Amino acid sequence: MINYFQTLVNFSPEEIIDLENIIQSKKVAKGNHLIREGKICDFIAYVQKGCLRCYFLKEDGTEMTDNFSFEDDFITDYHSYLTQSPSLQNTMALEDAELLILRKKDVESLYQKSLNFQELGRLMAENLYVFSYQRVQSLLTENAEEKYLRLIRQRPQLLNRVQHYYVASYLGISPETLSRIRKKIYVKETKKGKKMIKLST
Amino acid sequence: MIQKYIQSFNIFSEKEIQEAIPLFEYRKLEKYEFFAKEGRKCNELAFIESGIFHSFYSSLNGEEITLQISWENMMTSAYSSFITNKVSKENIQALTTSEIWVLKKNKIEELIEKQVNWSRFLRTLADEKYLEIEQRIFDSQLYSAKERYEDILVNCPSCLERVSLKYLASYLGVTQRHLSRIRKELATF
Repeated sequence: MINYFQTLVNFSPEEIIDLENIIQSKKVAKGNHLIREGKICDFIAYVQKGCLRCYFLKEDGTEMTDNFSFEDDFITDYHSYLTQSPSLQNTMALEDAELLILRKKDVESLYQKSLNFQELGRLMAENLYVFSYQRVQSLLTENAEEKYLRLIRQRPQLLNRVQHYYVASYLGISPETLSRIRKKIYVKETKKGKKMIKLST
Repeated sequence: MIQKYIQSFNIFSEKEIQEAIPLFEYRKLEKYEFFAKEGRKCNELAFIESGIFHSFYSSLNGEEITLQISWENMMTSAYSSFITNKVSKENIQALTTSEIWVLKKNKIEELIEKQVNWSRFLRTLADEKYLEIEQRIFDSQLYSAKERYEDILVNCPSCLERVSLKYLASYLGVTQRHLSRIRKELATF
């Protein structure tokens, strides 16, 4: 995580120590939750190992998958983090996960220390914005097949590590429809004589 | 107005605010004039003094999709382009004659070197923009067009008179016919 931060801001050795001092580690076993609806999320987590799924519970009790996170991804409910309001989402480990945690109060104490930490906070917030912006764009302009193709291009790990029905839930379609889309893509790719996309699970 | 807006961040000293005000440039836009355009870089933020803007982009099949509608006292920008320095995918267009105060990115960057608070300003702005875009995700995923219409009814009732049905429908993700039905339903209450 610190390596990644150093690509964003040029930290002094003292600042790196300040950063190291606030990092906590946390393990979440498969099937357990990192973030729970109704609780305030006062941290930013970095995935060292594992795979997690973020989802919302709709009023009718169905789950709507919003995101998957793998190694080197950041996880937070940034809305809850910023506004100190209860989280609307749940984040569950799909595999045993090892995380690094930055607590809000510690991050804010760093902001007081130097401009570099302010700049790190700004760049992180801007990156989050760009990520969400792309998500909105995808939601508003892509159909399920387009979304699926983009997903496996950006996150090829999904195919081997995430259950089929969670991927369907992310795309907002039934597992049966996802199977049909996969088949269609498989046929298209075969016809083109391209290297075939491996369809696991 | 600009002064109030800058104050609302609760970041700057009175002196910093007085120094910042002259950096905003006044600009008047005619109805349907663009503030930001697809394919071009957007390196400005616009604070809306009067008028209404919509931001939209084209889907793969060429359909126009409204991302956001902004009105008085709000900040609009092709923000993704603004922070990444890449060309914008979205358009921002005035839906009425509008007056805005424009702040250029290079002005902010000059200020950051002298005053830490401008870094805080940009971070706070990023946070706000994040909350806004996240709201848009919730809106489209969790709330019905009717609920979102009611939201505009509460927060900007005059928008409903000033923005044509075509754009409202696109923002709500429904057909114009569907929107008429929603309006009728709400009118009977």
